[in-house]
Amino acid sequence: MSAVTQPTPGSAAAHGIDAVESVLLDLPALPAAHRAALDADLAAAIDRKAAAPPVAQRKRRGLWAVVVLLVLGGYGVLRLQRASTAALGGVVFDGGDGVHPDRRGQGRSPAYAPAAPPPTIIARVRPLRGPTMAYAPVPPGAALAVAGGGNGQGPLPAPLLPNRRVDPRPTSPVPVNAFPRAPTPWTSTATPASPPPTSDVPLPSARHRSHDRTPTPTAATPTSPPPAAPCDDLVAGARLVVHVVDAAGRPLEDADVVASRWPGAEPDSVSVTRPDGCTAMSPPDGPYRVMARLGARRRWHPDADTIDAAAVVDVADGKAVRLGIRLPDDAVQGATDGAAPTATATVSATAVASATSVAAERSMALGAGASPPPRDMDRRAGARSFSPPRSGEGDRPGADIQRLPLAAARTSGGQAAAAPLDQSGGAVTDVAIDDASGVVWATIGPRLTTWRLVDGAPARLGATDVLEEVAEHVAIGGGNVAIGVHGRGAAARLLFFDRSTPAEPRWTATVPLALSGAQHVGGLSVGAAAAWVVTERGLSVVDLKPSPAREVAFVRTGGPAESGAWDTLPWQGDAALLDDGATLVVVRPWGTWVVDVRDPAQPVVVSDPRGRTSDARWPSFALACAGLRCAFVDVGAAGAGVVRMVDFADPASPHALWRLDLDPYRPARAVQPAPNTRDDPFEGRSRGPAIAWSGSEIAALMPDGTWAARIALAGGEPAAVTAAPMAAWDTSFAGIDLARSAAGAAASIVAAVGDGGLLASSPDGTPRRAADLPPPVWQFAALGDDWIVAAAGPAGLSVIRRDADGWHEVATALRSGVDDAAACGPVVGVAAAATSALALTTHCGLVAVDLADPMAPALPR
Amino acid sequence: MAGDGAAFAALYERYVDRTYRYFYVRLGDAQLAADLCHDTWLQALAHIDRLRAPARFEPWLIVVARNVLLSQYRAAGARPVQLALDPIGMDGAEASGVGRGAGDATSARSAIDGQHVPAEAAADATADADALAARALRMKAVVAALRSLSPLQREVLALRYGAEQSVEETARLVRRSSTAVIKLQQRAIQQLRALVSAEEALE
Repeated sequence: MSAVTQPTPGSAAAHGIDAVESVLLDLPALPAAHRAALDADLAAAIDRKAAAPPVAQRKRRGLWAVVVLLVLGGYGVLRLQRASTAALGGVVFDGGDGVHPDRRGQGRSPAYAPAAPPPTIIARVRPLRGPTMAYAPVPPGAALAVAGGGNGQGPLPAPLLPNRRVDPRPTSPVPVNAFPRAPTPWTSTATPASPPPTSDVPLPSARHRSHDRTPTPTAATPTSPPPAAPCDDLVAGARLVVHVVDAAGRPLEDADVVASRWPGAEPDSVSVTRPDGCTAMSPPDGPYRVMARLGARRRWHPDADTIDAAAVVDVADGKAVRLGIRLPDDAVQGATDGAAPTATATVSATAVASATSVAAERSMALGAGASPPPRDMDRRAGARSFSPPRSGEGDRPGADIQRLPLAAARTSGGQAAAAPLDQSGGAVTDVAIDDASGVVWATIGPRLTTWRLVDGAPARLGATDVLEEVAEHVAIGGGNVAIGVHGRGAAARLLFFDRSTPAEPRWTATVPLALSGAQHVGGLSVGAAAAWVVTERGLSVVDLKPSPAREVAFVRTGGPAESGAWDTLPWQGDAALLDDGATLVVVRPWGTWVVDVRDPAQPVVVSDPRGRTSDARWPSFALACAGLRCAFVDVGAAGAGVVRMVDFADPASPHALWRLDLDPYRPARAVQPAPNTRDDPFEGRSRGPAIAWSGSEIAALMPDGTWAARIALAGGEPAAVTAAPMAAWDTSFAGIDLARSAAGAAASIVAAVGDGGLLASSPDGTPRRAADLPPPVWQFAALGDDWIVAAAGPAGLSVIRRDADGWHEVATALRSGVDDAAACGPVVGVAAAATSALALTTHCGLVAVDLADPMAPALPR
Repeated sequence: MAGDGAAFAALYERYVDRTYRYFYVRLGDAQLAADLCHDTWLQALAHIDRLRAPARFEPWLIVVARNVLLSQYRAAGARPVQLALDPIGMDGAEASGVGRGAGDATSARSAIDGQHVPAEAAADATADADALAARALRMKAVVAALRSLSPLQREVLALRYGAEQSVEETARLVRRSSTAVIKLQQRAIQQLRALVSAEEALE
């Protein structure tokens, strides 16, 4: 400390000088809750704007309307003047028909027109308003009874009317058990003289109505078999049952249903509809606004574009509340391939049945009951990180890519950004190890840095100049090291560096992802000839051979980006390269794509979910492949996972071998998911479910993280399923793996579940907390058979070994207060090689730990 | 239209926080700033077709924001919106993205509660929490001091620090010369420093 008097902390001098500018230079960003609300409102506004004609068109229409009005006005004035002239002239030759003799046969003059008789009301058009319409399924052979006596059909017995209207004038602005207003008015020749009876058969959808129907008796008589109302099977045990249909009344599968409190609340509960458009949730008591969305289309219950206009649904007293939400027409992208709507009064349930039919996958119950009981279907899980497979390309010489000045890189593809004068340190965002040279390439702050282990200690070899953005990913392949850079309003970019000069990383080229226009790099894999980039738009291919290198292909993988709307689910999905090396399987929550990548510059989508039935699209969050088969895990309708096995022997027409609904295997003592306020599924930050496949066993972590299923395979088909509670979901990370055993014991499920700690299956098959590591556990890596090294947050780096009694922590490193690296802060990530591990810490960045003797981890000197 | 939506999304990503910060400095009320930011973007989307020079989106957006602010003034009875003293605490700092260490401290705290880490870790976590608290207090003091500035001074600070406008652009927006903007900014900063120092001295 120098002799200069230092201001004491907290003094006026300490705060007065620096505080003001530091505060002004680091003002807070828009709070997340407001941001989410604004996102939703803007997305809805964009939808409306997209549906409306452009301004120029509106202006043209307006101009034409003005012109027509002027012409008509002028014509009317002219006629009036002529008529006045004739009348004032006193020459009236009225032939009794009110027509001036000079104009007979030319039209009627207003001056001579007799008073027209008053119009006779022959019909009234009564728009069918949403609040007066409830819904119910239509049994086979049944016909519709129109509310208000539209067809004169008599009332049906109460058991047939689970959602019948009680009061046509609801006391609340929006009745709970009602569909929103139908998009098209309904015309009836009958006018109800009194409030309709309470036993009217409600309309299932707009498409089931016809215009000017003649009241006729229908087959829906009191003797008809009682129909099963939609979602009836979900009422028991659930507190909020939602039925989502499209504008035509067809059920929508895979629609997200979100229940939120307002204002400023994160989604309290999220679930996904099953093929019949039904879903259920069990949020705690309270007032909720409920939204359904599919792709870019969304509606708040009952028919609101924004949450402000949404109706409040009170969940209380343990009673199930049933809602219906109708998404607009454009939402049919997620509709099932059911029968086309028919505009007849009689609705055959066949259409509904076919609409909700699933694909010809074989559903295996494995001794389970018929339909799974309703469960809380909070889809806390979002997706695992979307990491493309390594292409397996060798370390061939670097590609001949265009070499540009770094200054150009800073401005290419985006707005020029002023580089700071100097900078050091920063957050570690990614790391890659060059196996050939042993050099570690890590993106730290806005630089790409290189490291090497010297005598067990990391030694920094070099670093790039300050880049224009913090890199998102780093990958090594061929002669290149590539990093992905966020687009910040422009296209994302790949920056290439010369792999052979780690001491002074030499920038060689920048390739903007101009073809796809993606802004985020979610995953990156670099080979000698091509780089594969996972973005929020899909899968991009950068050909490194031509000069300049450029993005040559883009595989659109659907989802919100494909609909041109807000990209709110950019990272959900997974990808794997099959063993043949020529087939890439990309899964996303809205389907599966198969890409022929034999020519990486020209990937060809050989199979996509379009045109398939909803279930055969194989929506999935994660996959694990072996050979030419992949196991998918998805969020099932009941909130538990669904595992599918798909065979890709014929990539153009993959077929499902079996499907296993895991909800029946949910342990009775499964932990109730804890509210996860930190994760917003729509932001793509949450992760899970997860799946791993090793030999004849598959392990699947359920979407809510509360339990895992262990599927034993026999002959490629599931032979047995065991399950056990895992942890309450209260984390933003979930990873799972099957740890092999050197002793020949069964592979153990190991899952890092954040605040749930590290969980592993014990020898008796019951997963339990491994080694009693204090949570959170963010990541783990296998050191080899029976050895694991885990990143345990404030508890540092833990080395865990499995013996006959289970998993035990045998050594620690970087634990706060224990060793010299206490100041490094929590360990948030780990990557391991055979004898060393690289720990990512919050304060020290990358720390190498020598694990030559795993019982005694050695820290850098 | 898909391209338009994507382009607007890109602009939104880039400028939404600046818009919020502009209102935050201008009003000193996080809730009100968020609401006006919300209105601004909805209006911007509604009238984006009127923007003839896409390169001028940012200044156009600021004009929209200022119009929204004026509307707010009018709605409030032609009186300037009262500055609210935001109780910016740990949660607020975390929710608004201030202080990335908040999560770390929380994690450390949770571990301490579980008695999984020794006392040294508790001290570290406490130090982090103290730093965050001090930071929140500083923010509160500066926001409170903004109340004493003239509307023009606040506008300049909001444009310069919140909306991240250049001196020239700020001068154009407030219809002053660049030199005047620089002087306004300097005096405002000096005034804020004096106010914050005085408040510290009183405490």
